[in-house]
Amino acid sequence: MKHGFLFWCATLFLGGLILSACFADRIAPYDPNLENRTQALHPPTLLHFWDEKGRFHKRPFIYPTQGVFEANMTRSYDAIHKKKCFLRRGTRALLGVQSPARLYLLGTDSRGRDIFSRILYGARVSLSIGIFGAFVAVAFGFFVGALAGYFGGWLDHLLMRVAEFFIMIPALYLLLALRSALPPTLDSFQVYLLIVLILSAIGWGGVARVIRGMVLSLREREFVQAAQVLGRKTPEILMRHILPHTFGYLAVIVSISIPSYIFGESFLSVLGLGIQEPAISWGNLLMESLSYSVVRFHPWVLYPGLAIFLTALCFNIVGDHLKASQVSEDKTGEIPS
Amino acid sequence: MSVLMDVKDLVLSYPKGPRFGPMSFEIREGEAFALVGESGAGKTTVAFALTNVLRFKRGKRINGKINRHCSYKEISYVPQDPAAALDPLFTIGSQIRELGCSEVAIRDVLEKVRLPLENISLQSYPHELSGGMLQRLLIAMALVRKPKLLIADEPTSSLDVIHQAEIMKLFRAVHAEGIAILFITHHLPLAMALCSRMAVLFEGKIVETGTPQMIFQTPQHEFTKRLLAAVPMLEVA
Amino acid sequence: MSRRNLFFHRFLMALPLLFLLPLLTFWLMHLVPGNYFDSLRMNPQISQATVAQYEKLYHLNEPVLVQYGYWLKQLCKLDFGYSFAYKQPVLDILLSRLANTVLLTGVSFAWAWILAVFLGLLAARYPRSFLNGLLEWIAYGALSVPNFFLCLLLLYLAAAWGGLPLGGMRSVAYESFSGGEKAVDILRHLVIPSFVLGIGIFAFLFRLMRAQAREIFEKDFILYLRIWHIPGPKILFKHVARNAINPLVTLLGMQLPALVSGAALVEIFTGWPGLGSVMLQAVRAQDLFLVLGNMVMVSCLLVVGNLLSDILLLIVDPRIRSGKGGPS
Repeated sequence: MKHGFLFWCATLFLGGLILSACFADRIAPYDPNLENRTQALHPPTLLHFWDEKGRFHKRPFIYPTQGVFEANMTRSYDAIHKKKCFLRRGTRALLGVQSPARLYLLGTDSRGRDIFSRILYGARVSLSIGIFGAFVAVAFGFFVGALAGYFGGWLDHLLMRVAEFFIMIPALYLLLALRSALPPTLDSFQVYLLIVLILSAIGWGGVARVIRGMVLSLREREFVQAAQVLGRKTPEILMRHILPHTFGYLAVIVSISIPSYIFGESFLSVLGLGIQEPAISWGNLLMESLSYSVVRFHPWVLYPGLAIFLTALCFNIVGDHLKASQVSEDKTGEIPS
Repeated sequence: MSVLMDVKDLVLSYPKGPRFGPMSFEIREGEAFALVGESGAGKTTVAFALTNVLRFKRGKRINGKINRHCSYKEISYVPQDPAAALDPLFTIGSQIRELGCSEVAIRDVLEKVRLPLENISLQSYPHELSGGMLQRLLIAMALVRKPKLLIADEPTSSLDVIHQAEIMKLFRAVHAEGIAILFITHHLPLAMALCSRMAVLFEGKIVETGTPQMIFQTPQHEFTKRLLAAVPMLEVA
Repeated sequence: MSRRNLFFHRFLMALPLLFLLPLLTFWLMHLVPGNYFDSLRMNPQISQATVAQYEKLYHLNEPVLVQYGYWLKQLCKLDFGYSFAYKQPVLDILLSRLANTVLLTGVSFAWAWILAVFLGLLAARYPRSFLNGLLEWIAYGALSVPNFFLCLLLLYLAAAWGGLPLGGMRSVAYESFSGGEKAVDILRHLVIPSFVLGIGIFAFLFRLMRAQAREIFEKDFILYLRIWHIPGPKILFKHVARNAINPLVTLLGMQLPALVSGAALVEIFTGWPGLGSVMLQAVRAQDLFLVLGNMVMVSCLLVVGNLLSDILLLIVDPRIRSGKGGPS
C-alpha cells in the first residue's frame, strides 16, 4: 500500500469520526444513557438480507430477540424467526428499525445501553481531550521554547532546566499523585479540564526543548535580524516570522502526541479516576471490560478499545506522513524522530 | 607492458543527475596515470566504478565496458577525505586488522608510510589522529594487501603544502615499487610531477590524453589550455 | 540540536528529581482538604489516643514545609514511615516491590532492545522485504494500541486458551515449588506483562534503529569498507550496528521516565506486584507515607537508571571519553 493512500484513509476516518462525534445526536440510534435492563449485554444485532426460508429482501431486517438466562448466570438471546423487523428511518436518528427489534450495532452493555451510541458520544470527550491536551501542551511548549531560544542567557538556562525536570517525571506516577490530590467530588467538566491540564503538564517539556533549538538557529537568519533592525517588537517577530517556520514540526508533534493524551484519559477513566458516570468517555466505557466473566461471554464490550486503537492508529499514520513530507521539503530543518 | 584495466565507452549516470561519459582510457601495469579534472567532474564516481562499488550507491548505473585484467582484490583505493573514511568507533588497529593481513605485514606497511608509531598507538581512535596521519594510514591500508593498482582519489586536497609534499614523496616510492597508480586530482602540477600519462576530464568526458610533455606543449582542448594558463609555474619531471 | 558534552549529564540532571518529586507529591497530597487521619478518626477500631499520638509524631498540625522537613529527617534515617493501609513499615513494602519492578523492567527492556537492534538493522538493509513491511505494521499497531487494553486482551486470551497465568507474579502453590520450578513459575507470570511493556519499547526503538541505520548506510566509510572487501554481514552487524546504536544509547536516559511509567501501567493491569500497583493502591487509600516513599523509590530508580545510561554512553562512544564531543 502506498504511503499516500494510507494517509488519506486515515484522514478520512478521523474526519468521519470527528463529524460523527459532533453530530452524534443525529447519528446515534439511541440515547446513550437509555437503559434497557431486559436487554443487557445483548450481542450486536445482525442484519439479514435472506430470511430462513431463503428468500431475499431488498431491505435488510433484524430478528427481534428473546432473553434467556443460562445456567452459568449469563444471558443469551435467541432470535425469533417468525417476525422480521425492517430497517427504516429512525425516530431519533438517521437509521432505526421496526419495533420490537432494536438496532444494536455493537451490542449493549450490562445496563442495556447501546454501545455504538455510547462510543459516538464518548468520542466527544475522548477526542476533545486528546486534541485540546495536545494543543495546550504544544502551545505552552512552543512559547517556553521560543522565549528560551530567542532570548538566550539565563532565561534560556532556567527554562530549559525546568523543561528537563518535567521531562524526567514519570507520567503515570504524577498522574496518579495529582489525581489523588483532588477532591473526589468534582463535576465532570472540572474533571475534564483537570485531565487536560495534568496531561499537558507532563507533555510540554519535550516540545519546548526542540522549539528552543529551532528558534536558536532561526534567530540568526536574515529575516529575523532585518525585523529586529526595523524595530519590530518581539512578540510580533515571534509570531510572524518564527512561528511559521516551526509549523511543520508543530503539526507533526500535535498529531503524534494526540494518541498519548487519549491513552492518558482512558487510563484514568478506566480506573475510575477520570471521567466519571454519567459522563461518557471511551475510557470509562471500558470499565465494563475489566471483568473477565463479562468479557468471556460478551466480548463486544471491548469495542470501545477498538475505537481507541483505530483513532490512535490514524493519528500516528497522519503524523508519520506529515513528518515524511516535511523532511523532504526542508532538508535544512531538523526533525528529531 | 600489459594492460591492467581498460575502459571503453564508460557511461555513468545518476538517477536525477549528471551523466559522465562516454570515456575510454586504459591503465598499464606499473604506470602512474593521472585523471585530471575539476571537482564534480565525476572522478570519484569513476573510481567507484573501477572498484565495483558503484552498485552500492543507490540509483547509479554503469554502461560500457570495464575490462579488468586483474582481480578486484588487487585494486586498492585511497579515499579523498581521511576524516570521514574510517569508522569512528573502532580503533585504527582493529580496522587495519580487518583487512586480514599478518601483523608483520601491517607493521611493515606502517613503517613504509612513516606513520610515527612512537607517538600514536594502534589503540587510538581515528579522531585522535591528524589529517596527515590519517591520510598516511589510509595509504597504508591500501598498500597492505600488495595491490597491483592503487587508486588515489584527490589525496592531497585536504592537506597543507608540507604534508602534500610528503604524500607525493610517498606516492613516488610506491610507484617505484612497481605498483600502478591511478592519480585522481584537480591539481595539474602534481599530476604532471608524478605521472607518465594523463587524461583530462571536462564535463564528464575525456578531452585529452597523453604524456605530460605532450599536454603541456600541445594542449588540444580549451579546458586544458585554461588549466595550464591558471598554473603560474610548471615543472615537468 | 546542541548537545552537551558534560560527563554524566543525565545523572546530574536526574538528581534533583530525588528531592523535588517527593516534595511535589507531598504538596499535592496536602492540597486535599482534611488529612488522612480524618478518615482514620472515623474508623472505630483505632482509638482516638492512637490517632492523636500519630498526629503528634508526624507533626500534622503544622505547616506543610515543616511537615516535609520532619519527613525528610526521618528519611535520612531510612525511616520511610508507616503504612496504614498495609499495616507495615513503608520501607519493607517498597523494597520487595522494587525488586519486582526491576525484574519486570529489566527483562522487558532487554528483549525489546535486542530484537529492535537486530530487526532494525535487517529492516534497514532490506527495506522492500516482507519482513520490513510486517515489522512496520507491528510497530504501528504497538504504538497505537492502549497498553492497558492490550493487557486485558492478552489476559483474556490466556484465560480462554490456558497456558499462561492470569496475572500476579506467583501461583498459589508457589511456596511448595522447588527452586527451579519457582523460577519457571515467575517466568510464566512474566510473559504477558513483559510482552506488553516490551512491545511498546520495541516499536519505538525499532523505528529509531532502522532510521539510524539508514543514515549510517549513506556514510562514506561504509562504502570504503566495501572497497576493502569486508564482507557484507560483517559491515552490517559490526560497523553499522555500532554506529547506529550510539544515538539510541544517548536517548536511553530520555526513555527512562516512559519506561517507568509503562511498567507501572502494566503492573496495575496484570496484577504484577511492583511499585506501580502499590502506587495506585496507596493513592486510592490516601496513604500518605506510602505514596511519598513510593515517589522516593521511583526517583531513585530514575536516578540510578540515568547513571547507568551515562556510564553506558561513556563505554560506547570513545569520542566522549576524550571530550571531543558526541555523535554527529
